Amino acid sequence: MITRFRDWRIGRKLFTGFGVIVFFLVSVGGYTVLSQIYIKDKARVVESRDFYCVKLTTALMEIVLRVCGAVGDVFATGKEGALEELSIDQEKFHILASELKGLISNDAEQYAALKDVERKFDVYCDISKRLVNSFDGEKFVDGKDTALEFYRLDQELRRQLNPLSDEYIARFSQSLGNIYDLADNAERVNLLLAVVTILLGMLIAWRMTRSINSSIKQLIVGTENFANGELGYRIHILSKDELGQLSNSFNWMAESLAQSIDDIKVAADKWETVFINSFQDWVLICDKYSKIIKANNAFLDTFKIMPKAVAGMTYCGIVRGLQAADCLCPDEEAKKTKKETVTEFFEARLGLYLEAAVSPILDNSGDIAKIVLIIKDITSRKEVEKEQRLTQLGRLVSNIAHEVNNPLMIISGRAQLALLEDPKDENLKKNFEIIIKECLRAKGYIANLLQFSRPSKGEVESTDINKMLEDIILLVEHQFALAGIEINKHFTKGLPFIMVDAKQIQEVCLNLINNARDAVSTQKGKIDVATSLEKGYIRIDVSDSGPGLTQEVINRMFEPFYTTKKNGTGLGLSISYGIIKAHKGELKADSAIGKGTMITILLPIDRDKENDNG
Amino acid sequence: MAKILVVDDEVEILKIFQQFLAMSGFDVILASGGREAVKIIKSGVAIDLMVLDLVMPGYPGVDVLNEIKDAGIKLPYIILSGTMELHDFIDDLKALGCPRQDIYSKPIDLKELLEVVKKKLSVSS
Repeated sequence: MITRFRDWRIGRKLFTGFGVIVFFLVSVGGYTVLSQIYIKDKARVVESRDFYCVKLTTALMEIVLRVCGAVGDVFATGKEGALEELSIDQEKFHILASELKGLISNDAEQYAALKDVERKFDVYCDISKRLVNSFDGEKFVDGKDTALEFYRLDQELRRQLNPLSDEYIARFSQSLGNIYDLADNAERVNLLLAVVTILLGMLIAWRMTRSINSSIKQLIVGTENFANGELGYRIHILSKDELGQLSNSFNWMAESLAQSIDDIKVAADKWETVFINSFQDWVLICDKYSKIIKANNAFLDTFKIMPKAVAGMTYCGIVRGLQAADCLCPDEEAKKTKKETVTEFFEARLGLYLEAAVSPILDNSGDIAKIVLIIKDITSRKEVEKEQRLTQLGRLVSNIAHEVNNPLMIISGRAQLALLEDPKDENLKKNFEIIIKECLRAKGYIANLLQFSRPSKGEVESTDINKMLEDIILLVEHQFALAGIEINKHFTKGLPFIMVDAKQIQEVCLNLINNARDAVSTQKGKIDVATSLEKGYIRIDVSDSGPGLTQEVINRMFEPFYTTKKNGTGLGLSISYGIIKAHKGELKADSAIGKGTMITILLPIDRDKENDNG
Repeated sequence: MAKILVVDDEVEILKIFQQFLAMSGFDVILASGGREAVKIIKSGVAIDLMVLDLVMPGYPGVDVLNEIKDAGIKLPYIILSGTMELHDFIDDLKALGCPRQDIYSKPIDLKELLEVVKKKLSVSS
């Protein structure tokens, strides 16, 4: 039965894999953006504090220089100008200094240093103003000491401001260095994340491809197997995903198909059985080795075999008791030519003439898959044919007899007339006598030929078969003894007398005994003549110890003009057959090479009764 | 003098019988076919014995027998045939009540024929 998996694994897998990759990409991007903001922020702080400190310090230095310059410029600007400049610079200095103080308020030492610088700058400015005020247009009136003081303060201010500036530059460099480090770190993390993302993406892609690929491979192998008719094959389900579902559906499809095919086979088998059982003839369905797969009831009933027991047996095994290799099976020709054949043959063991229609059934590659044999019992048809042949031949012989006997009449009549005139010449007389004699001989031969178109036309009389045979044997015994042939009687006493044409039956028996003599003449063998009673018939067996007959000879021996003897006419047995048939009896032969021959006559005791029944 | 009608389609055979029977002192009438024989018989000629062939073209011996039987003419006869084995004729003859000993086969010994004829004539007279 089909199983449905609820979850949609492949979709989920794809979604998850894609999600993981997207997550990592977003992470990388997010980290980049955040680190940038952070670094910028840091840079801004550095710029607004450390760098500004440097700038302010530098500005303070400049002002100090400018104050010094203003004093020197008094020659150009005059006293007022210089004083004004000094006042502006002093004010500027304090503004910048207080700005700087605000920046470094948390550093007490620096703060104190800066305050000291401020104080000294004020002193410096006072001295400068004093110097300027002491300027009389040509020289500074104030004495040497003031100038020295100015110079000393100038140097001191410079000395104090320089390390401050250096300090701030150092701080700025350090902060800048920190920012570079941060940027480097961010770069490394970014790179790592990118590499991890790529690796993870590849891993997920590989895993998913592999899983789908193996499922698809299984599917392909499975469907190919199904297509080749191996419906028992089952696709190995690797995963409970959509492909697993598909594989499962294919398996289910194969199962249903196999079931349907089984159903069809069963139905076909049933139909086949019904079909072949509708035949009165034997129907056998065999495999390519001639082994029976199925036989119809007509066949099974004949041989008393159960339908199941027949499978695997062969026609030759059942009917002939032989291995197929030892005999010519009826399907031999059809197997060779792969074409339908119809053959007629005599099945000696059954005593039946059979006609086998053999149809080989070929598979797609043109080899034999099955062989169907329809075997018909044509014994009665054959018998009729045989009798018809005899009758036709009888007519022919009869016509020939008429055409020959008339001229014979003329020849012999003329000769007799000539003799009646009593010729003096003895030679002439003798010639006529010979002509007459030979005409009679020819008449005798023709009469003999005519015998077998004669169906019991003679008078029937109550006959003692034993006595009749006794007479025949008496006649030939002496002659046989001379030839070294022994003839034995095995008569059953008290047989009923039967109504037969005694002359004809005698003829038949004599013919059979003479044949037996011919069979044993070269070996000085023996002949047995037996009589018995058998189910309403009198049975006469004439057996000899001769070389025996082949199946072919047995099949054809009753045909007219068929002979194995050098000087035979081929009519003896066929005439005998005609006579016995006319008496509603049977004439049959039983012989095998090396086992001698036995010819049997069966004569009905009550012919009319037999006639009614027949 | 007994009058014998010989019926046969073979002229040579007729000639032989005529010569022999005449020599033996019989009055011989010949018919070369069945139709002719019936004509002669029906013409009222007194015939003592008929020697009849069976197989004749157009008008076989059996037909002759049937014809004279139908005409109510009683005529002693013997059958002399080249073949008596043709089934139909045998059955027909049986039906006509022809005894087996009156059927003879050609070629016949003329002396035997003479005896048969004499015997037949003595019986019928």
